[in-house]
This record gives sequence, C-alpha cells and structure tokens, in this order.
Amino acid sequence: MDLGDDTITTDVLVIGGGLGGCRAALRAREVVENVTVVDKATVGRNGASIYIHSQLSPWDLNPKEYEEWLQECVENTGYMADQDWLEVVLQEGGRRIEELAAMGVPYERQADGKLRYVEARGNRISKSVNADGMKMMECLRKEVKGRGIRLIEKVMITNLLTSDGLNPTKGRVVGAVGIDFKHNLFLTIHAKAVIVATGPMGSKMKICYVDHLTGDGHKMAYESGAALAGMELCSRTYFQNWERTFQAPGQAKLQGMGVKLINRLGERILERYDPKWMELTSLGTIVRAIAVENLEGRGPCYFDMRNFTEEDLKDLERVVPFFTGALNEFHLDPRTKPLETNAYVTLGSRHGTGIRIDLDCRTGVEGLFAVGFASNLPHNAAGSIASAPSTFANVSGYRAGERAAKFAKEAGTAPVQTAQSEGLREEVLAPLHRISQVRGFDIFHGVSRIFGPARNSLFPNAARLAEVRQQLKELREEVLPQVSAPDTHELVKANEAVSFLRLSELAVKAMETRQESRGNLFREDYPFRDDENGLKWLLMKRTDADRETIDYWEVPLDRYRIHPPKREKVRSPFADVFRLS
Amino acid sequence: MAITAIDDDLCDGCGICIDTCPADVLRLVESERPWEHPGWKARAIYKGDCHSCTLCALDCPPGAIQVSYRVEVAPEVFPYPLT
Repeated sequence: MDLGDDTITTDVLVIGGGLGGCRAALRAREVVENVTVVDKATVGRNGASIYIHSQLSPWDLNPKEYEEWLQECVENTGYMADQDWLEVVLQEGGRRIEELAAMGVPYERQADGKLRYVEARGNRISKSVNADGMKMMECLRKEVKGRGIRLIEKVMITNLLTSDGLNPTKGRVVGAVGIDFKHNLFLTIHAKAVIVATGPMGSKMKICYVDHLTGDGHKMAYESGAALAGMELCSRTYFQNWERTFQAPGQAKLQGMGVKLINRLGERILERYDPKWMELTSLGTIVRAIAVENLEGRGPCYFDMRNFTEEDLKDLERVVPFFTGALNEFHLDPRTKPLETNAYVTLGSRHGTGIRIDLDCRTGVEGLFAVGFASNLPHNAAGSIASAPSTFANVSGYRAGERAAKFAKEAGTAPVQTAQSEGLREEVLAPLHRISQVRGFDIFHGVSRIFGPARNSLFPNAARLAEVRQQLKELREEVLPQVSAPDTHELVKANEAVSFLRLSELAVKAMETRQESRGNLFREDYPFRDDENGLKWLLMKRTDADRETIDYWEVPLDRYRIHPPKREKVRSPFADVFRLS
Repeated sequence: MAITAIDDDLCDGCGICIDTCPADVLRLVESERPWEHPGWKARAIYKGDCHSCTLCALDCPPGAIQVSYRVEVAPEVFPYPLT
C-alpha cells in the first residue's frame, strides 16, 4: 500500500483542536487571513478538552484576594511555579472565561446569574467555575468554523519541517507533515508559524481522554530542538478503575465535592499520608496511598459518597455525565455503598511535563509555539493547582495565537526543503511496507509492562530505573523496527508508538537524573523534597542530530514575590510508611 | 467491552459515528445481509481500539449503537506482583 500526496499552505498552523488550539486559532485569525487547525480526531469530539469540567476563575479579585490566590497557588506548586506565568493566568484567566461565556459556553451560575464558584482538587482559597467540556468544545467548533478557519480532521501530524531541512534546526519551523487517514494521503503543510496544541501525552490504557493523545506534539517539538521540561514527572497515575468493572473520568470533581477515601477497615487513609489536604491532595499521593494500603493488606480502597445529597448527584451528572452514565449502567448508587477504586500507573505526562515555553508561548525554536497541556503548564509546574491544564489552555491559547500570527506576518514565507519532506515521507510510511504481526499497540503494551509495576513506577530507585531504561532500549532496538501497518489506521498507531517510546525513554532518563522526590516523582533512594538543591526544572534538549543535553532552569525566587519560608529537605510521607524489600 | 452492538434496523449509514469516534474505530461497510438491511452500515472494524468513551452512541441520530463502560482487559491493578 502506498499513499497519495497533498500539499497545503497556511499562515498559521495549529496542531490539535482542543481548548488551547481553538483559542489560539481564533485569536490568530483576528491578525492573519489564513489559519488552519489540524486534528487527529474531530474538533468537539477530541482529546482531553471534552472532559474538562472546571476552570480556575480569577474573577473580579480585589488586591487582597489576588495576593491570597497567588500565595496559595505558589505554595501548592512547592514553589516550582513560574510566577510570571502564574500572574498572567490570574490576571487574564477571568477575561478568557468571560469570552468563552460570550461564545455560549454554559458555565454554571447562581440564581442571580453570577458564575458559581466551586472548590476543586488542589485549592481551598482559589476557586473554579464549572462547565461541561463537551458543550464547551461544541461552542468552540462552531466559533472556529464561523470565523473561516480551515479545519482538517482525521490527520495525524508526525514531524515538523524546517527552513534548513534539519531537525534539530538552526533555522525556523516552516510547516509539518502527517498522515491523512481519512483520505489515505501523506499531507505536507507549509506554514509561516506553527502552534503545538496536542495536549498531554498518555499511553493506550483504555482511558478515554488520553488514549489517542500519545505525545506526538512533544516528540516533534523535541526533535526540532525545543526543550522538554519535567520529563521526570512522567508517571501518570490513575485511580479511575471502579468496582474492577469500568473506567470513567471525574474523580477530580468528586474530590472537590467532599468524597471520603477509605480502606477496607473504614479508615480515611489520607490521614496517614496528607492530613493537611486529605482528599484534596494530589493524584500522585492518592495513588501511592491506595497502592500502599493494598500492598500492606488494608485494601481495597473505596470512594465513600454516602454523604452526598441528591443535589450533589445532579451536579455530578451535569458536569461529568460519563461517570454518572457508568453508574447507571451498572446500577450503582454511590449514596448507599462506597465504590471500590483501584490505582494504576503508566508513563504519561503529568503537571509539569511538556514543552518549555516563555511568556509569549515561544519554544526557543523560531516559528514554533506551544500551548496548554502540550507545554509544561509553567504556572503550575510540578504542582496540582485546581483545573491547571484547562485554565492554562484557555490563557496560553489566546496568547500563542496572537504571538504566532504576528510572527507569521513579520517573518513571511520561508523556503521548504523538498529533501526533508521526502525523507520524512519514507520514514513515516515505512511500517506500511513491512510484513510482520507486530503492531503499534505492542509498543504501548511493552512500555506499560516494563514501567507499570509499582516497584518501577511508584517506588523506583536507581537500580530499578536503570533496569527499566535497558528494557525500553531493547524494545526500541528489537521490536520497534518490526512494527508493521496493513492500513492507515495502523500506520497512525505505528507512528504514535514512535512518539510514545521516544518520550518514555527520555522520561526514565530524567527520573534517574532528579535525585529527590518532587511532584509526581517519588524516589525510594531519595525520599525527600530537597528545596535546597531541587527548586529547578530539568530541561532536556537536542542540540545536534546525535547530541542530547540535560540542563536546569533554576526557579528565580529572588526575583519573585512569593518565597518559601525556609529552604529545607522535606521527607516524603511515603519514606516513613513504606519500603519495598 | 466497548461497542457491544449496532442495530442494523436503526443504522441508516449516515456515517456520523465515524467522524465522532476519536479512536477511529468505526467504518461504513456494505450490508452483509442486503435483503434484510440494505445500504451501508456502521461497523466497529477496529474494536480493540475502542476506549468506551460512548461518544458514538451519544451522537448516533437513530440511537443504533450500544456501548458499555465495562473494561474487557482492565489495566493491571494493585497489588502488582513485585518481583
């Protein structure tokens, strides 16, 4: 099988049509004529954005409240936040929500018509507003189409084109190539500026909002020379496997609604691990807590919602209909019986992981911008500020659209190196010409099998990480070259596997490098958060075709307004309660 | 379990589900039993990629698709074997 070819030209190319991508496209369209959004699915039915349920809403804050919100958010990030970005989010977030409301996004309101503030995981003082993400994305789709933005769907962008024909480039990004799997075409797009809005990186674990988000944007940006931050935080933790029967998102919403996490003995388990935040603690803490309870024989663990009112359940249905849909299918009434929840881990981006960007959403590679969860959520970094990804997508999308469009206007068209797109065509389509029983999914499964066990993912140490690194290398050298694709559906998965495995190896290398426990990374051999030496972001970058570097960005606390009371080593709660033999 | 059934009496081959599915699971095929159900019908050709998001069922105008949230192959849950 071979594919036909098609080429299009645009001023600004946005890769990924979720909240961040659509906001970017809409803003860019106000500045330039020709804006194109490419999506691997269908805008409005795609990605993580349709599962958004809340956004941090810095609305009409008085100066005192502003300071309190800022303080709480910075503390939440363990002082790792890029405070410049955080202030941008707090200052611009309210206006961005107002604009979405004007597009028809149905935010929940009080009887008097004002937005209804709610508590969400990670925050007590600062509050969020609720809206069903799917309805939000339907509004954005309508808006994007109405403004004459070109939508190209069912296309996977695989690589970026550069002015010097090299990756990493010393020139600028001038477009991208990919697979149009609806029309069986190899697509080349020439663009003056490119915005990566591909959302978080996940694996194929039957998790509805990340199964097809495989880090393609992270990979292509990294290949072109952009830095990836926070790859060491890449253990993606979940506890949305319910009753050992079904999976459904919405746990963060439940955490904000006063759910109790209990073990088989009826104890509220977070009293042991995070008595301050209890159920509003981070995902990583909850998953490790569930793991330890189970491993020490006090499991399984349950989400206890017996205190919920009828009104709470209606609330839930409005905001996370997938969760309540699943409850209905299995005739479960969480008001009468706690729901068993189980945790699992895979490699995937968490808060703090992603493409490093500056306040203009520039990646450091000329002509290449990134937004939302494709970036490392700099305002939040390794923290768990409420609604961090959705809030950041909204704010950064707008900024990136504006900056990229202005760049496109000023920079103009750059020549495209035909040899580069021809070379990439061969590389991307290679699995079509192989004959084997190995498919892209085997790579995803292989990574999860290697990294998934708790000893490697939740409680790693130097020896275990070295072993994981070696096994991933074998997967790349021995299995990846065999991946074949009988059709374009499988070709997409084969290329997704390339992205995912590349990033998985980087993640493990980063985990080996950070010698402390921070955010979602716990190191059994360094079971403390080291604020004396650790308040820095780990950055990975390609400087040459065969040279990768690890660098640091020291959080410039001297310049910031919020400072840690003292810089010390803080022992992880898991250091004292549990140790694998 | 993913897509559990597509009712050929109801499916009118409109193809909306194919656009909707974020995992590219569905295709339209010519009916295998044209004497009973003529025309094109939706089929979960790549059923293994379905992640039970239920969007196809939600968007299907005649309501022909049934999806279960049940997971056929659940990810391994804790406690993992530690050795």
